[in-house]
Amino acid sequence: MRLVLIEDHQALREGLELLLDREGCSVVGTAGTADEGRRLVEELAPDVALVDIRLGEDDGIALTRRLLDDDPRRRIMLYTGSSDEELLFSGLDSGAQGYALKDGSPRELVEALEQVARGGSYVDPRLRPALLSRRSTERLPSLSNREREVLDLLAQGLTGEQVAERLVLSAETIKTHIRNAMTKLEAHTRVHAIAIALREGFISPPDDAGIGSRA
Amino acid sequence: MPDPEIDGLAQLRHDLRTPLTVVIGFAEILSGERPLTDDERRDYAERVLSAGIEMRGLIDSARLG
Repeated sequence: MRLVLIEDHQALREGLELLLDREGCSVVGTAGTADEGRRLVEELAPDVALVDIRLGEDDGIALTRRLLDDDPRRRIMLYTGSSDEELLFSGLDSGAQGYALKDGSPRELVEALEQVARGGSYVDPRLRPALLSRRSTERLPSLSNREREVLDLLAQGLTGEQVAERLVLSAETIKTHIRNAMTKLEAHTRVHAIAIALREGFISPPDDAGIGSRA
Repeated sequence: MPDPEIDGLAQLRHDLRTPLTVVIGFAEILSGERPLTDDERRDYAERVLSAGIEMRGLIDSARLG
């Protein structure tokens, strides 16, 4: 897995490069600012970009939006020391496919990055209380049983194809259910839809570590 | 009305996490089973030390209340 690391704290940037390298991840470029990070991602086209949310004067969430506006196929994992709820939802709104906390071990981070690189999504399991405690003041339209079922399986880490197989439905039908659920939940991405569905209690948190989907 | 002491603690908590990640990451390697060269061991210990010094500086300079 080829990774670009964008982190303003020099010791952590250098440390992570070493730690991730030891875990078998190839860090092809590192940057300490949003501008440098954007240039590197454009130039190196990594499998995943790991972006610190607070980049000194710069904003990692704004950088993520910009990178995904330029090319929606890019895979981005936001990385932060804060478990602030608003920041989490703002991060998921940006379209990032992953959201990891600095509390995790390097191995855990590499596994999360691999999940995102494979086309899935990831939210740090430590953020589950924040996802679950937030209650929207606006009532969202309810999901159908099938939409809940699909999101539930995605939250357990199944791919869209595996969900189709499990429910004996076509991949296209699954995509339609996901699209409909995203529209109802006003979500921008699948992981965002899973986060909202968990928050609203439409689905239950998965038992294993990490809320993720490889779909 | 925001409480400056709570704000200060939240900021400190956030700021400490970055160097703490360095401390834990390298301490894990140092205490792990994979063999390290003397240079690696020294390098990683120095990283733990400087992150620890940074954390102490953050705590010393925290303005609470």
